[in-house]
Amino acid sequence: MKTGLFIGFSLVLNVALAAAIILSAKNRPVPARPPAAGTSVADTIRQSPAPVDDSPLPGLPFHWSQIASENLKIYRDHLRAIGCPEPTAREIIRAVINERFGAQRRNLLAPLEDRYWDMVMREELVRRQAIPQSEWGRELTALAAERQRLIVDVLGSDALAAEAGQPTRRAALELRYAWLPQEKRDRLIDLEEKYQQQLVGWAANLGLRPYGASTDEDGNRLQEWQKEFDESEKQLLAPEELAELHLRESDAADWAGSLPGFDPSEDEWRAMTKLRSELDEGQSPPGGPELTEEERMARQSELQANFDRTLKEILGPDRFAQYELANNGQFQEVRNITQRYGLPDSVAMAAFEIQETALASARQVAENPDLSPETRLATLTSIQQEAERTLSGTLNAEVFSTYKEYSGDWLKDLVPAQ
Amino acid sequence: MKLPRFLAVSLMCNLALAAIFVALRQGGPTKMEAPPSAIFAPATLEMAPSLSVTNGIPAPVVPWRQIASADYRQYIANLRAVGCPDWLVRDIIVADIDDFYQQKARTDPVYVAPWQGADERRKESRNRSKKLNTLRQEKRALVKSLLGYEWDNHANEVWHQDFLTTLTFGFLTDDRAVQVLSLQEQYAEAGQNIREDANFILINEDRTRLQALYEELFAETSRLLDPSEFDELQLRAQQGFLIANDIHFDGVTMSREELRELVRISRSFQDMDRNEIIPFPPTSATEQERWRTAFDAQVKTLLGPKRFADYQRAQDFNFREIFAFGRQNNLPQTAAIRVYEGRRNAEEQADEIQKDGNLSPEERAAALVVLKATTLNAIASALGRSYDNYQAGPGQWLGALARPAEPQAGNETQ
Repeated sequence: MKTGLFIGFSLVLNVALAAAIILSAKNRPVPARPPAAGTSVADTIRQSPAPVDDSPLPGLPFHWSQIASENLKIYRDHLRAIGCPEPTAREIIRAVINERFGAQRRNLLAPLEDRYWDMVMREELVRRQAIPQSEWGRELTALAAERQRLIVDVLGSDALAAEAGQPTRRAALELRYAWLPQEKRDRLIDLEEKYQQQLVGWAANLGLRPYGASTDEDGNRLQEWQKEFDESEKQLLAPEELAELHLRESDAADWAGSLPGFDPSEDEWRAMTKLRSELDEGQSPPGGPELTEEERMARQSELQANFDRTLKEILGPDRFAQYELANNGQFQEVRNITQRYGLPDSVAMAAFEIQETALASARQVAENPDLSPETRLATLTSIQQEAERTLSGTLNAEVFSTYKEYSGDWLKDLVPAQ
Repeated sequence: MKLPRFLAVSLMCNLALAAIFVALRQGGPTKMEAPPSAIFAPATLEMAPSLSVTNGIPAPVVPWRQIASADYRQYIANLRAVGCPDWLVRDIIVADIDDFYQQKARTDPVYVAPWQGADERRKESRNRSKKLNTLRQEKRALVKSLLGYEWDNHANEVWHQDFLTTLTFGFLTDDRAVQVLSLQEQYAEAGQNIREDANFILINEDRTRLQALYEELFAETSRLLDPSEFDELQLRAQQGFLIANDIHFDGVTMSREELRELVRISRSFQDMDRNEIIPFPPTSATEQERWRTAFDAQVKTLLGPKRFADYQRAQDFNFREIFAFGRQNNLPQTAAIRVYEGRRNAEEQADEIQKDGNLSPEERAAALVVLKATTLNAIASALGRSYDNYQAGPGQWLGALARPAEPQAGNETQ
């Protein structure tokens, strides 16, 4: 009797399981429908229910239609639930958002496509800044803001920070603070990151408003964040580290990177950067007296003379001469060309001297009141020809041809146009 | 004995059916074998933490791990097998490749001490650029080998975000547009590298390399598009010529086809597409004037003498100014033309009066007053109710019309 009951139960279970398997296989997904015309894409995405779950094909872990959803939060959660790594889940959601908004954008732009060449004729595409004010520009701006809101809504504001290139920035900061001990470096970078995120969020918030208008409150918030950042920085770093940071981050610090042909030692860099900072501060002292233009010029000359004198003492005459040459724009132009051909700096020096000599001679001729216009013209032409001949000999014909193209305007200007 | 044996068979059926049901609901793990020509995804893909929606504890079954594969070809096949749409497969794979190469690019960074000189910095920067270029080329080749075409997510982003790009490439399908943009980005970058290597001092060998690059881009783009699409693409790129040379069409009656033809003609004077890769060499004012005259001659042939005169008028700022005013004030085009011609005649006459040595100062002043009055009348009649607005705006030249010329230095009288 007992055996009979077991058999009966087992047979019923077999039938039930077979039915369940058949039903599972039949239960196919409902295809996603595009949003109805005139409906906001974001609303459709937010409000639509998840599609009916579907069973995967045999041998596969799931079917995409089981995780895809018109509701992007559900889509996101499904992706997380199946163990999709967060960066990939973000990319998928972002791609879906782009795809859906892309379709909407194309609908907006389609009527303009027929008028493309009319718009060219009317110069509507030239006035790029006027585009957001046009009817279609306004619609596109609204759509872009809606897209941004949706990204924040589904993925959080971090997603915007990622869009703003957070990983690259972190790597750049790692390099910038490489001189600090690892622990302090990491904490300083965290501070910077936090500050940057605040700024990105702030800017994104403004972007959602018409014309990105900011209020006093927005300005105050920025100031508060800056103050908070400065305070945290001060607490984190020892006084000498903070002084080093300020020196390296000062406006005067980057001079060595813009002086080809002059490689300072670390000591030279430190001494000169301090000197340059003092020069900068001296030129515009905070809370200093109002100066007339003449007084300001006189003060600037005095400060510059002091700077040059002190610098000469620090560097010595030879290094100072090198420094001065590296600061000369005309010399740098010639040097760029000789470097391009792999020629030594002595060739650039020789070409530069020819230029200096020719210009000095031309100045003398131009300023000589005793010369008739014809004699002046003939003398200047002869200076020009001589300069071309010697330069061509010093540089060789091919280099001289490049020189004329990139740095030869002064040769033409030696002789005034008739 | 028969009944227990039947029971045993039935129970085995129970177990088998239950196993099939469970497997169908959860998905049975399948072992994925890498094909021989495997293209491997980054290790991060395998190591990336899986997330749970509930409390951060990883779920016991991680279906995504059965989809993701270290072999990109397998990864693509798996995504397709589970019904992931093709465009999403592409975006997932390309984003993953981007991420992998971004991480690769971040390794081995170069620290620059602030006292490091410009020459050394440039050398290091170029070395680093070369490494990054190699990585980018490798990445592009990988994407192309997987998808069968160029694809760059950055180009895709530009296509979706930049209005002007969408409008300019709008005659192409989404996929084609991004493919063209990806190609252009790739070649623009290659061109930039050559120019940077040369420190922007281009010599013959650089120009030869840039020319070869341009020809390659040309050939690749023409292979990607059908002839009519390629032609339209070139024309749209060439329309930058109009902006670069300050060419306008206000008040010119032209069909779209004529405009396209004019743009096509301009290509033999300044090829804008080519200029993206090989910058125009500096040209003297005389050379510029020469080619501009030759270009104008071709425009004249295209438009005929009457409309060419309109075209020339459109190049005059004064005409464009009154034309814009007319449009803002809903005036007919004829009104703008009348004002423009009135102004031109008045200014010519004023100039003649000013230069006429036979006139006494009083006679000159009187002649100018008469000229001004006549001109004001003519312009008021052309503009009607908009006349006051005009006077307050672009019509301020009217005030200066009767003003005597500035006395020349040395001729001042007390």
